[in-house]
Amino acid sequence: MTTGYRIADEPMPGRLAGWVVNPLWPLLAAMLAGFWLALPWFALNGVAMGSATRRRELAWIVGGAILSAATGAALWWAPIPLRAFRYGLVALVAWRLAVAYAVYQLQQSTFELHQHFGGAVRSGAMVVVAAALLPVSRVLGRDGMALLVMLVG
Amino acid sequence: MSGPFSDMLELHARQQLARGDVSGAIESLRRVLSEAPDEPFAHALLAMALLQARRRHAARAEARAALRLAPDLVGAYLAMGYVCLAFREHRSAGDALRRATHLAPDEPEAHLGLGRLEAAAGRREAARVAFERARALAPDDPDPLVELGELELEAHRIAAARAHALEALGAFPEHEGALVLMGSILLAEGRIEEARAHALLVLRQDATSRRAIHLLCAAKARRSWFLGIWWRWNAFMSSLGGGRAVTVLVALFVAQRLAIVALGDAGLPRAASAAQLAWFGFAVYTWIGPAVFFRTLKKELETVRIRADY
Repeated sequence: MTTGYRIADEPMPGRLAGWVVNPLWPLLAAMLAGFWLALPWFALNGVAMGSATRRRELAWIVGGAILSAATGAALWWAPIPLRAFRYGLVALVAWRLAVAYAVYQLQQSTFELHQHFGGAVRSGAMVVVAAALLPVSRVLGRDGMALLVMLVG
Repeated sequence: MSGPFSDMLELHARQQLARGDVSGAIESLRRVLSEAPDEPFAHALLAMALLQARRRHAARAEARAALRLAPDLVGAYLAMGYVCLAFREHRSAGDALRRATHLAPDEPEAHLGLGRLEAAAGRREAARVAFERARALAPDDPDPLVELGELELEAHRIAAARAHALEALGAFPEHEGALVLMGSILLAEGRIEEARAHALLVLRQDATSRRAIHLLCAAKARRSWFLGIWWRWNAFMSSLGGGRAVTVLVALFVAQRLAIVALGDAGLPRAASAAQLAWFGFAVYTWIGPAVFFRTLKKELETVRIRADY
C-alpha cells in the first residue's frame, strides 16, 4: 500500500485484503437481510482493510449486537400488549439501522483510502441478494424465523 | 535531521498545496517525514494538506505531532486552529489561532484563520476586522479580499461583495477564489449561465477545484427543481456533519414508523398508507436524485477543456 511514514488514518491491509467490499454492501445487508449477516461482514471488512478505526467499529458491532439481542429477547418473551410490542419493534429497527450507519460511516473513509492506494475491491451484490432471498422460514418455520429476526435479524 | 533533499521536498509540497495538488503534497510530505520524522513544519504542513483532503482525524494527529515537537511553531498553531475549526470546536480553534497571532502578530495567515473562525461562528463584524487586518498585512494577497467578499455575500450585500471580487480579479484575473466568488455573486443575482461559465473557467485551470465544482453543482441545481431540492437537502445534511446527519435520518425513520403505527391504532389506515407511501417516495427520490445529478454533472465536466499548462 504505502511505504515510509504512515499517516494515522491509513489502512494496513493484511492477508484478507482480497475480501474487501464497499461498506455499502454490509449496510444494504443490514437493511435487506439482517444483522446476522451485516455485523460479521462489517467486522470482516474492517479487519480485511486494516481499518484504522477498527476498534471503534468492533465496539459498535459488539455493543450493537448485544443491545439488539437483549431488546429483541425482551420484546419476544416479556408479556407486553401488542401495541407496545409494535412500538418496541420500531425502536429495535431504529437501533439496528443506527448501528449499521455508524459502522458504515467509520468504514467509508478507510474504504476511500483503500481505493485511493489501489486496493482490490470485491462486489458484495450477490451475497446481499442471496441472503435476502434465503428461504429461512422453510427451514426454521414461521415462529423460528420470527425469533431469529427478533434476536439477530 | 532534515537535509537539503527534505527541505527541497518540503518546498515542493508547499508549491503543490498552493496549486491544489493535495495528493501530491501528501506524498511529498510523507517522503520528508520518512527521512525526518521529527520535522515539525512538515507535520504542520501535512496537517493542512490532510484537512484539504477532508481527512480530519489524521490532520489532528499531525497538528498534535507538530505542536509536541515545536510548542512555539506558528504553523503548528495555525494547523491546529484549522483542524479544530473543521471539527467545529470553535473555542479550541480560537485558542490555537489567537496563540498564532500572539506569536506572530504580523502573520496574515493567522488573522485570516481567525477571520474564518469568526465567520464560521456567525460573528461577522469580528470576522471583518480580522480579514481587514490580514489585508493590511498582505495587500498583494487576494485571499483576504475574497473572504471579505464572501462575508458580504452571506449578508446579502451584493454590491459590496462584487466590489471585493472585482478588486481581487483586477489584481489576479485567474484567482480561483475570486472567480468562484464572482460566480457565486452572479448566481445570487439569478444569472445562472454566467455563474456556470465562471465555474468552468476555474475548472479549465484546475480540474480538481472543489469550490468550482460546488459552484457548478449549485448552478445546475438552480436549473431544475427536481435536482434543486435534492441539492438543498444534501447541503443541509452535509452542514450537520456525519454523526448528526445519521441521527437526523434515523429520527426521520422512527418518526415515520411511529406515525404509521399510531395512525393505524387510531383507525386511520388510509392516512397510515399515505405516510408509508410518502416515505417510500422520499427513499426513492434520495436514491434517484443524486444518481441523476451526478450523471448530468459528469456530462458537463466531460465537456471542460483543460488548459494545456494544467
